[in-house]
Amino acid sequence: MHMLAVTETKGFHLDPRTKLLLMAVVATAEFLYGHTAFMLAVAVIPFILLLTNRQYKAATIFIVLFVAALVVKEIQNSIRFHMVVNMVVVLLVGLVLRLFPAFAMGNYIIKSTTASECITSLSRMHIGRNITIPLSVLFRFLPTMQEESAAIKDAMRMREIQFGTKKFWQNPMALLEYRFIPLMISVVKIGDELSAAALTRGLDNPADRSSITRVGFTCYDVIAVVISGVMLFVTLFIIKW
Amino acid sequence: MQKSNKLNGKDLINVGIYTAMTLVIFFVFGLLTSLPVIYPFLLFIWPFVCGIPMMLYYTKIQKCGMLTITGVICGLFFFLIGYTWIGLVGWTLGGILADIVLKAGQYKNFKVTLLSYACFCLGMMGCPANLWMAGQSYWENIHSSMGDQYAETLQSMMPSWMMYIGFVILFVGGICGALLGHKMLKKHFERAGIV
Repeated sequence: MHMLAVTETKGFHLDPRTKLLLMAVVATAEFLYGHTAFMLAVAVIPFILLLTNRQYKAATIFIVLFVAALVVKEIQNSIRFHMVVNMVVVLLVGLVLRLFPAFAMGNYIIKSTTASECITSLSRMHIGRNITIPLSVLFRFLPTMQEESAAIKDAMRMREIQFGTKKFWQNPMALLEYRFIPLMISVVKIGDELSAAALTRGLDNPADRSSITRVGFTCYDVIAVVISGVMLFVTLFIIKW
Repeated sequence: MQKSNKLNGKDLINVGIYTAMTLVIFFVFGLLTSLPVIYPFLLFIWPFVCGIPMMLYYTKIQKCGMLTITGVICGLFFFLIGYTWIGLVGWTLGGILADIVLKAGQYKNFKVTLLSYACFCLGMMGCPANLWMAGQSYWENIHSSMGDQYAETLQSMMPSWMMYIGFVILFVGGICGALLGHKMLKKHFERAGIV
């Protein structure tokens, strides 16, 4: 029974369902923004969550980029840039302001949630195995694909097969062929091994899955939801600048 | 659905792997949308490049329902990163449609695969469809978030009739993508002993 107690001793943590709710709120809120205070409030949620998960580096990078983008956006309409420069600036600022809060949130969710927690809480939401298994495989594969892709990129650099070289312009399709296909082959191989491993551990067992990971709402969930709710409400309706 | 037709663990893992691959490739190319000039071409590029992983995926599909799950998961992903509910609905419908076509064709014929993949690609409309469906409020958002110049260029590139053309482009792109994927399958994957 001591084994069970281990999972209970962590500090600030959120239920995966709360994380999903906050993610949906952040992703939706990004499209509502009109004024700076609200955008800041949206950005502060993932920032604080990253800090609580001790991802200081990610949190710093995120908030610095976000504030920089805000500043640029403020001065953007007063200075009329050259067309091409404006395009690049809009591209970067738009990416950071629009997508980074959700990216930071996604980063936090992936780093702070174990697969077991995720599956347990999804099955509590009565989402069937048909969705939970592919979803957990998907999240298991994203970092793997990143690693494999970096390795293939290094290997191909030796043969000058990368974006922008002379060889690339002679045959752009080669990039597709030499980067994607080795990646796919290695991912398929890894996937075969993974499914063999999962099947020997009883993935196909029709009985209900049980878990020693305890998932449940705690006071932390209430605090997080209330604080972010109040923050968004206040900035959306009361403080407008 | 009969008992023997139910999806087992191996199928579900396959769904996860190939959805991950398709999604990553789709997303990497999707980042090009930041340049408004490229937007209309993306409708062709997306189905074209996604054809490679999807054709590999199609060789593993023997049961109804796998493409629907792929569609739902992709839709959920785009819902979460801010493409609103239209993204979710579009991808899911595309998945269901592709599944129906594939089931009607008994999973054997390459022509059926071709048609099914082209139908799946129609679901990709879920991403740019916001431009027309969500109407004025969405445009105001783009104006305030991306700057006036970007919005004006985008608006001139994407008038409302583009939506119907868009479906056609996606369909054609899907067919070309399937052919490309099929070629790659023959050229590389069969040699590597994966299919």
